[in-house]
Amino acid sequence: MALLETLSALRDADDPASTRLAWAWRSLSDHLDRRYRLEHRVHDDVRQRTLLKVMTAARAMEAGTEGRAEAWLRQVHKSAHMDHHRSRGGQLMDKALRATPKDDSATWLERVGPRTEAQDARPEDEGAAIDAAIEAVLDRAAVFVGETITQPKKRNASLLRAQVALMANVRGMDTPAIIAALDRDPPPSKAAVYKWVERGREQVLVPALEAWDHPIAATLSAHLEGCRRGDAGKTRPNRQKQPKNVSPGGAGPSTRSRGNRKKP
Amino acid sequence: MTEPFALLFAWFDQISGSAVGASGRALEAGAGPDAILEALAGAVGLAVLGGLDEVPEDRRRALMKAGRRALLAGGAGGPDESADDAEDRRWAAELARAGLQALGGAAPDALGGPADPLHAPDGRLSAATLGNLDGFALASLALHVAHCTPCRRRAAVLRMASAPAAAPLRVAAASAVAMRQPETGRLIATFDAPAAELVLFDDDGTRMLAVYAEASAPVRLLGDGLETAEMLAGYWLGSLARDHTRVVGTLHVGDEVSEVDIDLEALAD
Repeated sequence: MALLETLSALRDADDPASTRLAWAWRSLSDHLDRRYRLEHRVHDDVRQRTLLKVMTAARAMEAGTEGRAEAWLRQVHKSAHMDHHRSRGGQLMDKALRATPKDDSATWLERVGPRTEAQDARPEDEGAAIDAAIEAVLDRAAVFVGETITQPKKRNASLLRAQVALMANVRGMDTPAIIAALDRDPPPSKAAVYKWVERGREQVLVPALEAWDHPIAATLSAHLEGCRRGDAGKTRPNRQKQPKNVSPGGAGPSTRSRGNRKKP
Repeated sequence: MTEPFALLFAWFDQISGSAVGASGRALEAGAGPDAILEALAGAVGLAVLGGLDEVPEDRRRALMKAGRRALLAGGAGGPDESADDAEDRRWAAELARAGLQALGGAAPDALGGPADPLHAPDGRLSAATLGNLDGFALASLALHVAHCTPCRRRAAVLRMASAPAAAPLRVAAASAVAMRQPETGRLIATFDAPAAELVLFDDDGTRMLAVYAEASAPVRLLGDGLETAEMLAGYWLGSLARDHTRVVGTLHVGDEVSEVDIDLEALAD
């Protein structure tokens, strides 16, 4: 099956995940295996990432010839390859990545914009840009906890807390919205969410970003530092909710919590 | 039956085999409760991403039995356990219970537990399908995928692509016909088991039918008035005789079979 025909079918489909396009995905996977075979473990991951990128980017493909389709796929594959190495945070193999401009004057949106040349179209709104940034950071955080925490149950719990921290500190969700999004039964308390945000940020996100050579890293580190300072002035929700009985002699509880008391 | 991701399936085979041992007895395998709970949680991944049906029945039973014991044994932490450690243990147990439900036949969207609240990044979804996540991480990700339509579609794409590439099969067709683009035809039926779609093409009065299957297996549509024109792995194309207004027969995808009875005139209305 010619590559152009395969990619055109994926581009023109209403739903690229439809069963009727199984042949196209198999054909594309086979093409990647033949054309770009790398060292085994690297290749498997890069192939999967490439397929996922094609799924979202195919609609924008304008190639009309076999050669241009191959060139388009090469760019997507290169981008997936860079993502693979970026998530690992070590020495980057791609010269192109080393040349990635780190312009201090770039805005948040410019820095966290799409990472693939195939997705050249800039996200239409800030939400999409933040989603892209969160995805990249979470990918990196997963690698970080995999490298630093040995017990599987602790690794997973740390990553869950890091996700809650991303929801609060990067996506800007408030606590009730986070509780609703977690969809747990029973729902977690506000104090638990507060703790998860703190733990996720300090124990996973901040250290994961430190050794990460990615345009997002420095910006996000500064942003998280700001969130930390912001949280430092607040009282934990459980302390706000549990008034202390400060009256001597067993009188009723005080209606004013310690956390909200202001100095004269 | 869902075609499994080969590497994920191999990972689960290894981790569940280590947990319960070749004899099916966890005690003889020497596995600790954490290893058993991790294997149990891994079952959530297979339930959602595909392949749990392929796990042998005796392995499933042994894992469920060992899992119940491990959940009871790990129910309480020590006196020195910190609040964070207790939370980690509780979440791990919840994921293992979801695995127990999955092994017991619960549908993926009925499973609950501490799911990933955010969409799975490409790298995590890739790692899950390649068997590169541990059992708890796989379960949390899978629980998210089970309840998230976009992530489920992304996982479906990887599953379709993971099957061996389409290779032409020998058929007794007089002339080869190129694989038809499904978008140029009309979808007339969708099958769940085997997962496949039936598309009708009208070639200047000649009605052609194509089957696109999710599994990369030999596909045949057998019935009165049907004549095979082309077969590829996961694909079948054939013609329907002019005097037939119904497609009546059996659809074969690998070992799976489904009855087909479609009234084309009713569809035209």
